[in-house]
Amino acid sequence: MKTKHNSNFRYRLKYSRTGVPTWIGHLDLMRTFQYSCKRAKLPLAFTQGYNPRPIMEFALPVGVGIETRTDPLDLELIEKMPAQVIMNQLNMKLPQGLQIETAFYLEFPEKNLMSLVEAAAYTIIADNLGVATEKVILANDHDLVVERIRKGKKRQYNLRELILDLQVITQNQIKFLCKAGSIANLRPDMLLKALYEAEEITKINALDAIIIRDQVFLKNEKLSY
Amino acid sequence: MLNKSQNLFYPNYVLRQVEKPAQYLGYEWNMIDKSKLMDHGQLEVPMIRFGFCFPDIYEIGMSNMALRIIYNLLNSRADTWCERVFSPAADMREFMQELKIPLVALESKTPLNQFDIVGFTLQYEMSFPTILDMLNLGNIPIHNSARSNRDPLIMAGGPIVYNPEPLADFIDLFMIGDGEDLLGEIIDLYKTWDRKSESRESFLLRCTKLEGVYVPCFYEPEYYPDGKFKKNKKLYSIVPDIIKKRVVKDLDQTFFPTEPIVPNTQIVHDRAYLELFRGCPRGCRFCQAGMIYRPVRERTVDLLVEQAKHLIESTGYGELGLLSLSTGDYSELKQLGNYLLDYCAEQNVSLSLPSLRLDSFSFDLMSKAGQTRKSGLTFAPEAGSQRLRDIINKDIRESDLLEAARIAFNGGWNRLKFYFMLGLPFENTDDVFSIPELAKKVLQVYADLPSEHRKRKPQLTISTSFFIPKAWTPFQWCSQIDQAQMLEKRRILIENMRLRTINYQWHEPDMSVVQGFIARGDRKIGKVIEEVWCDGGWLESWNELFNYERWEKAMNKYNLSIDYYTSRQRSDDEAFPWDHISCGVSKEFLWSEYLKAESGELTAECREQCHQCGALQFMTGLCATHEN
Repeated sequence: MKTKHNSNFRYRLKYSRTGVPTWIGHLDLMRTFQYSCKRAKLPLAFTQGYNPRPIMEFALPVGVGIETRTDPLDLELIEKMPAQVIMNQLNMKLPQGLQIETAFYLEFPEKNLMSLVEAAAYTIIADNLGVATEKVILANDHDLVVERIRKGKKRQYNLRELILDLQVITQNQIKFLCKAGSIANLRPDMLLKALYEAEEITKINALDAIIIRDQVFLKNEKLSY
Repeated sequence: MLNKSQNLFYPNYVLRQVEKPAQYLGYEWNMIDKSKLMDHGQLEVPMIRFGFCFPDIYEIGMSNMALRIIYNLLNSRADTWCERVFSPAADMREFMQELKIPLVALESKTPLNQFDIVGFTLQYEMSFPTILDMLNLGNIPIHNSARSNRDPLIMAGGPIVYNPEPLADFIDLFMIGDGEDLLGEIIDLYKTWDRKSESRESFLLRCTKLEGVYVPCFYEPEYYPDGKFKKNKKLYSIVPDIIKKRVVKDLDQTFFPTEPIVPNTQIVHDRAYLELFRGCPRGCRFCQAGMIYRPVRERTVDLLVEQAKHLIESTGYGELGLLSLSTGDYSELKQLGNYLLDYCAEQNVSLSLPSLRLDSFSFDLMSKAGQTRKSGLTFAPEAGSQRLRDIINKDIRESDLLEAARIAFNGGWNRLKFYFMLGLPFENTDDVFSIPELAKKVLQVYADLPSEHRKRKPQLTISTSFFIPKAWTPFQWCSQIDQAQMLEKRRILIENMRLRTINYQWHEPDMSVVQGFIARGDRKIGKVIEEVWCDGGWLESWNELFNYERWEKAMNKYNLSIDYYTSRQRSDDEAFPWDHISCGVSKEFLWSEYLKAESGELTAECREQCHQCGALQFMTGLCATHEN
């Protein structure tokens, strides 16, 4: 099995981001990875055109202010090399806060990593978050509707339909599993919005939260977190 | 373990409410962090803390070459840690004021007032209120007279330092000319300043012994009873009469940053840069850079090639830019261009070429570089008529322009951009009309092409700015046109270029007027800048924050006439507030160039003939090749 770039070799890397890179947008993150891969002198496969870019695919865009722990990203090389070596070489050239945690070669690569995403697991830490979640989400089964303006259109989301599982860890910390990907996707800030709109936590506490994407689950992966 | 958020400094709720929060956080690739060196007490002598301030926001400042050079140059010294400081954008500035967060450096998050030296780079006049704002946000008194020995030494340098007078009340020490050598000398001298026993004034007096240092508080302007500038009086006999600019003699031996910081976020000029040469041989009469950077000094091809490799390896950038005032004039452009094209192709890097000369080699190079297709080609004839181009000494013939347009259309470039200035000295109505005429001739060139070359419709962008006379140019004596004239000229262009194939872009007149009175301002303008800042103006270089009424009000408050500074024609014997600064080019040469402009006489470029401008005294670069 080959990708559309016939002779290329595809690797799946899982990266974490903490600290400063948490505060950049998805486009800047891609850009930063592109520059880092070039610095690492990997035998990169490039796109065609006037501005050749390394061929790289992210599973799920990550919003500004969200840390990650093991987000998947696929990278294509024109030479085969040990995944461990790719990881080590790249880690030496990534800016502080970005790190590759695991890497492996894809024997049977599938195109379009994004379409494989099914779910994601998050941890959120904020003052009084656990207590508020207990009250607003766990203690009843009402619809949890949040409005969001997207591309100029108002859209309503029922968060309950998107949350697959939710646990309160401490009075300030929760973790949950939710639908993710291009078809149905829960943004963690929508959950926080539902909580401060219910006036169970303050807006400042919600905005001050630490949000971590612990895992992204692809098709056929076991949803354990 | 969960929150590894190191060095963020700002609370998450602030970062979530400001645009582009990463601009305040630092920790980019190639950032220099000397904090560990300091923590572990490995230092025998204290580290000199230098805060390099760019009076604009991050994405503008990080694109600037002076910042890249000085940051890495100073950090190459074991005894100095240079950190970066930018102006916050409006949203962050509000949070800082509300939460009493001082302005800090990106690296260590140290407040500005805790630095030893704070250095501003002066790139454009409209950034002057931002300087006051940054000092204030950093808890440093804005007036040099109000600073004590506890406050940092406040320096400034850069291309528009050649008329430093509008900032004379705020800056302790100006550096005139190339900073590479002088900065080191100032730091060495700074280390001998014992703040406990020696006064600030005494230390500054010692600084004036360094060539290129101007300490404004040792000079006092005198005015005629009608308010006109008379002369600068020295307050101490030992300070220099004339402060001569510093020149780095050998660019190959001068530091150049091959490991610049790579921002985590996109900036305005997001690419690696090579500096081919300093200075410009052309001598266009409106151009300040062409006068103040003399003489022309080139880097050699071998070194540039080596630097290009190092830059691409250390940054991973996908684009390499060439920097100079007139890249087409680099003497080995062919050799360099061909080499870089090969190297860039091999590395999957695109070579970004600035507007080049209009010859066939340039087109060949651009065609190979390929990248220009997306951005179109830019030409800068500056004036529409041959008469006016001769007056400003812009040596481009109309036939050259049309031929270049023909080659461009034939080569598949259908988007062309032309830059012009309105309000140049001696401009008449015909000259203004000649701009739309030239645009139509360019379109006719397209129409005359054989049909197989007319596949894509041409798109012309005509861009005009209003000419602002600058100190140290042959036009420093000239009248700047007022808003009414600006609007009239602009109206002529709008009405005569109503074609779907022409897109006309213009600059706003009001900001040009303000730039005008600062550019040729005296010390009194400092009060105006301060007043505008007090009145809420702080990022005046941004159109959306600029407010002309504020400037007008401040000028009125101090009884200053805008016309005195802008539209007034100066006489040949007028003393200028910048007469005590010297960029090497003599006032006599500039006046002779003014007279030649008046009669429409061209001055050949430096390589053909030496015109005794005064830069010969530096005995280097292009000047060193002349015998006398």
